[in-house]
Parts: sequence; structure tokens; C-alpha cells
Amino acid sequence: MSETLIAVDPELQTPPYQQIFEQIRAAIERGVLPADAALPTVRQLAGDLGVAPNTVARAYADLQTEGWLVSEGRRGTRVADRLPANRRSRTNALADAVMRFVQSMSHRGYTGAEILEAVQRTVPRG
Amino acid sequence: MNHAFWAHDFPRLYIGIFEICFGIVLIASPQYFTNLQRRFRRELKDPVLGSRFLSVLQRRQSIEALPLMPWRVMGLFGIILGYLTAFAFVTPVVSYALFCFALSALTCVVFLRMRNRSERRAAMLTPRTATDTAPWWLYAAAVVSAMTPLPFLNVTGLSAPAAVVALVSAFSIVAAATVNGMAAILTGDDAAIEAIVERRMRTVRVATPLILATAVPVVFLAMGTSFLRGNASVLQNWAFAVSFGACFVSFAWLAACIARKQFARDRVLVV
Repeated sequence: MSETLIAVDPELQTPPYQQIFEQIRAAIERGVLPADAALPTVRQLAGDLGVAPNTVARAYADLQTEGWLVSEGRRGTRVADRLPANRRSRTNALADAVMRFVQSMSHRGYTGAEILEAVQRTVPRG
Repeated sequence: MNHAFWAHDFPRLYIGIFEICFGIVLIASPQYFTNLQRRFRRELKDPVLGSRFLSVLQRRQSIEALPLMPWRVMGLFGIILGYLTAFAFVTPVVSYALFCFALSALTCVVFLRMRNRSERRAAMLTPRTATDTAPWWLYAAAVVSAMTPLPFLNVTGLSAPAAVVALVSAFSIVAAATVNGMAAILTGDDAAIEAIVERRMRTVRVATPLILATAVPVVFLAMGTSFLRGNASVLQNWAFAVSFGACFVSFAWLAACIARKQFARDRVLVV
């Protein structure tokens, strides 16, 4: 069984609700969270991540608004059966992830050239 | 040996010596009860995953930072209580009730104050339910077991211990449910291994008070019915039988869990 973990990094400038939103959306886009998969309750996720329940509730609400999640009363929050057309979302998600990574590395004192060189060494060509 | 020895001296010596020995173990090596690595001996020997497990377990141990002092205090209490019991200053039934109460309070103090104090915290995207760690019927067995000392409330000399044992058992069930609902301790550095460690430790820490909740009454009821000799009522005999059954069920579940425990490496390799 695959374990999908999400984390909130307090050092990032991106607000925690946005970090949660983007990681769940990315997990759905990659197929790690399949359609109709149940998500943890707001209280459980907030407790595990050490954030306020409102933070998780806001991320869930935004994901529902965009059509990634559905809330089904007693059945809890689930991944929607029909996902939104996601080509643009995929591109956006990648751009967002790269931006967060670059911001995080910049905070740790790495220069743009150093980050670029490390990425070029790591990413396979072709 | 005559009947008096088995009815009076044997329970006194047995309980007294048990409490003294348990107390010595707690004082000498309290880390035995807080050390996570002893739950993963097999995985730690694995040539491929051993170092990953060691790293995750060490990190988790430092996050949990379970204190050793409460265990040592409990050990000292056990030795004093054992001494008083062995030399007949306290009856074995009262001694047992007090010992169980202290053990239950210790378990709650240690486990319930545990929090994820790491700066970077992670969470699994799977919902947790009350029956993830222990089946509903184990909770039911524990609840039934907690009520079995009640028929002894009107017996002179057993009423206070019966109340304490019932409370300890009920307290343990509440502790198990609370531990089950506690936040996960995950940092996201090694998701697959951390998830295995989290699941196993949560199961162990929920199962321990639940099994304590069934085991505590059965010993008390054995002493209680022995105390009454042949004069135990039908209800008291039934209570003992039910308590014994509940305890048997909980230990059978524990044995089944140990028997089918999948080697963690198999699960990691599937991820």
C-alpha cells in the first residue's frame, strides 16, 4: 500500500492552507489519490500537521470549489469522481512547486546559479 | 501445605513478590518500556532497510522524549507496596488494586502527554477510525470486563478494591480510545518507514491499555472468589467466568496479531 504524506513547512512564505491545497491537488493529479478515495477529517489532518482546523478547512473548501474534492456528509470528504480538466492545473502545479523550491533554497542561502546547476545535474535529459 | 497457606499466605507472597520484582525491573531499566527499537528488532537486522528503520526510530524517540522518572517512581511504589503486602501490612486484594491504579495512571501520564514536538510535521492522507488499531469487539470485551468487579461491591473487605479495579479498567479503556485519537508523529523524511512505525506503535499503545482493562479484573475476581471460598453467589461466579472469557479473547487477539505480523520489509518494497 502506498503512503501519501503531506507536510507543512513553516519556513516557506506560502501560507499553510495553500501548501496543503497544492499537495493534495498534486496527489490527485498524479493518481496517488484515486477517485472516491476518502480523505482524513479536518480535525485529524489539522492535529497531525499541527495547524489550526480552520487552515485545513480552508484548503478543503478551496479544493471543493475547484472540483477536486466532494463533501458527502457522513461519508466525509472524498476525491471527486470526475476531476476538472487539468492540463492547465498540471502546468500550474509544476510552476508552483518550482517556485516554492526556489524560494526555500534562496532562504537557505543558495544562489540562483547554484540551484540551477544542481537541478541540471539531477534532472535526466531527454 | 494446608488450605490456609493457599487461601491466605500464597496470594500475599505471590502479589508481594511480583510487585517487588516489577518495581526492581522498572527502576533498573525504565528505558525497556520507552525504547522503540525493541518493537522493530527484526527490521533493524535487515541489511537493506535496517539503517532506515534505525534513523526513523531514533528521530521518533527524540521527538517523543518520553520521561524515565515516572517509571522509576512507579518502581519505588511497587517495591514499597510489595514489601507491605508480603509482610501482611496490606491485604493482597487492596495491594493489587492500588498497584493497578498506579500502573494505569502511569500509562496515561506517559502516553497522553506525548506530542509531536518536531518543527516539520507531516500527515498521512488516509482517514483514521477507532477500529484501525483494535477491533470493536476488543473494546466491547474491555467494557464488559470493567463491569465484572461490580458484584463484589457489597462484600466486606472487597468493596473498595472492587470499585478501584472497575475504575482502573474503565480508565484504561478511555486511555486507549484517547491514544487512538492522538495526532500522528510523522516528519515526512522517510514516508514508507515512518508510516509502518506509526501504525505499529499506535496499535501497541492502544492494545496495551485495552488488554490491561481485561487482565486487571480477572486477577481481582480470582482473588475475590478465592476470598469467598465456596460462598460466592451465582452472579459473582458468572462475573468471574465472563471476565476470564474477556481476558482470554483479548490475549487471543494479541497472539493472532503477533502471529500474522507481516515483516515490514515486504510492505516497504511494495511502496
